[in-house]
Amino acid sequence: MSQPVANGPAVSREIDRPPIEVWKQLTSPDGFEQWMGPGSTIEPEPGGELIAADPESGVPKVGRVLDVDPERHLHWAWRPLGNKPTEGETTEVLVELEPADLPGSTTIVTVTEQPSTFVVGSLGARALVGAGCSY
Amino acid sequence: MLTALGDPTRRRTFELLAERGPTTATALAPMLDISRQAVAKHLTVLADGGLAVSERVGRETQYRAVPDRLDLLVAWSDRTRTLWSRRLDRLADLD
Repeated sequence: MSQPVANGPAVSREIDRPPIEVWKQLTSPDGFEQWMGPGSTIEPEPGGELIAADPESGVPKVGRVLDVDPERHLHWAWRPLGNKPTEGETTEVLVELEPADLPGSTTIVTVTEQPSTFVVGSLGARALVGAGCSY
Repeated sequence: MLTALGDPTRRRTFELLAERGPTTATALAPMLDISRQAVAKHLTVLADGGLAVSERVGRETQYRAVPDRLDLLVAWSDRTRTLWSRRLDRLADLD
């Protein structure tokens, strides 16, 4: 799949770790759960399932991974859990990693989110219930 | 509302409508670099999604953006940026 075009509100942050470590944080089971909250999971391959407790918004999300380019970009679609698949406001998230300097000891992470026409179907969210999330 | 804006060209169509005021598919087509029929289709989807209203003027259908929908989009964009700012702050703080 060609590089997804970022087209929506975007935020960047410089992280004091090399891209390979940031990538592990984003895509390993423990790393993703540590970041997105208890019960969060990700299958980091096209079509993979994604569940995010997302404490920042207080609204858990379910989604699908769309595209993966290791240590460079991660692209997923997600919607708030509880909305019907055809009505929920599905959005696409593109996370891009870039080494900030040579020899690549820090990483610039840029996230762009945009509305999507993608329909995320029903996914099991038992992991969230098990972790004590109420929704 | 967001689903109607999922397509980037459709989103651009909505922005142009908001910027330019009442206009037609014929007028918008060269600005978007797509056919009049393709623009007409996007305008129909925007109208169905409550983002635009249409009015027959002469032989053409004129569209205009529903003003508070643009405000909703701006509010959504701001909130989205705030949320990602917080999520990335936490990512930066993780060991």
